[in-house]
Amino acid sequence: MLLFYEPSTRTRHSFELACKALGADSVSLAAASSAVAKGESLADTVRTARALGADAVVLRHPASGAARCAAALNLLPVINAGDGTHAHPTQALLDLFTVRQRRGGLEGLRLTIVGDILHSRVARSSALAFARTGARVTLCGPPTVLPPAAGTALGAHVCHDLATALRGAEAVMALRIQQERQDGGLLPSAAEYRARWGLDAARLAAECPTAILLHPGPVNRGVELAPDLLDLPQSAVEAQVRAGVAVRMAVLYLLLGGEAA
Amino acid sequence: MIALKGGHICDPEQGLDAVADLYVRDGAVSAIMPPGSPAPAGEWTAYDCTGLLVVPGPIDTLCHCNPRDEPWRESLADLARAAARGGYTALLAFTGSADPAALAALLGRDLPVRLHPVAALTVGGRLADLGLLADAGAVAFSDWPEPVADARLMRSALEYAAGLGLPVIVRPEDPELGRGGVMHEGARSFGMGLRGIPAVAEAVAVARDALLQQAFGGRLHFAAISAAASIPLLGNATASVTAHHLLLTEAAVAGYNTAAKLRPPLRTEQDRAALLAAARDGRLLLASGHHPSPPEEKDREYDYASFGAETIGSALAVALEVLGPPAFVRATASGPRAAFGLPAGTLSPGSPADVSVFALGSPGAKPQAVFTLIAGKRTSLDA
Repeated sequence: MLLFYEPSTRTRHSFELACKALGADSVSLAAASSAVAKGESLADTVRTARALGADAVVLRHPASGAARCAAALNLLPVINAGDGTHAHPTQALLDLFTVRQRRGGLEGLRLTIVGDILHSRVARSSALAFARTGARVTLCGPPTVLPPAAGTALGAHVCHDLATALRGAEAVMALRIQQERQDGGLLPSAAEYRARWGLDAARLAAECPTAILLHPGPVNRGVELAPDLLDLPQSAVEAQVRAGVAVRMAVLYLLLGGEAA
Repeated sequence: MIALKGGHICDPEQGLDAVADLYVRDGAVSAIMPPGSPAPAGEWTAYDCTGLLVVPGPIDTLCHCNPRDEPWRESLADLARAAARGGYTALLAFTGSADPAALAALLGRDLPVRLHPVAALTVGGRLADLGLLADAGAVAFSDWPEPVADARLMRSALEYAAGLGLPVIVRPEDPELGRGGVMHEGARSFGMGLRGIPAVAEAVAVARDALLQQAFGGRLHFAAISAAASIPLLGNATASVTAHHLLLTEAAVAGYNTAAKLRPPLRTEQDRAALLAAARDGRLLLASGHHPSPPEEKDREYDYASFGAETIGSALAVALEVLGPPAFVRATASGPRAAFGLPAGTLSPGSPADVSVFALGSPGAKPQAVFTLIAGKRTSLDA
């Protein structure tokens, strides 16, 4: 049972295709069009899923800690498909998979993540995952969305200068910039962001010409990435999407089917 | 007429911190005499308090009450019973009510603690009817748990309440700096992906209101401060800290523990240590900060869970353990008495005999309230 409490195209379709490829039936429940919109609690929705015969719940939820909250009910296995600004573990796994395929290994990797780190569950999960494999992770972004505490919390380096952060990186991940951060007074305009924090071919060529380019999608072409960047050979953004299905198949298989298989 | 014999009586303002016998006549403290002295003339019902601590009745400076008695929330009777069991003899009950008749009705209730109603400070961006509320029995005014965002309105509130001789109680937090926050802002909130309330959101609000008080006068009390940075900014105002902020830090939030989702939030070890030192020095009063929620509001996603905890039964035991008796009495009785102009909170002869008796903790056992007297009558908890 896929429970999606916030809109998601790529993660949801990726899980659905992974289920299909494994021969599992999946039912997607979008919060906006279900009992959830009528005020049903997360616990009751998970109970309903079990009563309907689900073997597991894949949960996307806007509140940090929601997957843990659902798992603590001890009713069904819960796979976290993204909770608030806390974690997006399968995205981190597919990032690891993509970079390992391209580079041939993760040992000693230098990864730089650029963007709104504060509101990014992808940045948190990927920084922790890459650091665990021995990578040196640098976080870069405007100070309003990259507090010093981020470095402490994630075991990463914090750098507020883009050129310095990119220098010598072997993989660079850009994060999506959301309009509401500008409205919230955290960021100036898209034009300012593009000029100071946007990635383009010239910047990459100067500081890290061979770096693998990652983005969790969906991309704002022309804001965090220059329009032509996705078409360069070093872009792994499409490879990430492809890897997503395989990685989620592996997650479902190992967590749910491993014993029986 | 009651005699409490052989207890350790502690009331630092009266210079009392020794074993003695306490005599209560006509609802008031009549005499405190060295142990074993012959009793004054009269018929005394004696309670043996050997090995127990006898203190002026603790007054809670911050607890939420449900004046409308909504059936799914804690009733006033349940609140009062839990408070009395925990050793309290009086409560500043934050009613949020701007209705003088509702306030007066609260005072008519027969409860095992004295109720001192705190009335609303503002209604819809204007001052509440502070004078009528004072006439109805309000001892202070507060919009708790909401902060007073508008500095001009805060100035008016201080000036107007000063004319009535009553204090204004605020929850210090800059609403914009704290907007949407659910825990202390720092590395832990970042790692958990939870929106933080920075310590400075409290400190700037404390500074603003302390400066307004210095400029325009009035009596000002900050309910439940949580940040070390607030302490040096208090100026002429009084302030309280909750027992749980003396005991716990933000580490209690780990695992998205909604029981530790509190307003103000639990903060760092440095904050906890500074608050404890200030409470021991007599700079801060104690509050229970009691604010229970029905289970369905707590057993859910951390972001969506209610703030607050049920603390009125445990606050005094915790405070007695971490403060020791003399600082405990200053923080729970003499301090609140002075800050809110209340008659009880002292064992000076002639004052109302509101008294609380505690068993002190020992290794392996927490301190515990044994019984309370209100106006010289032993409180019944069976009601």
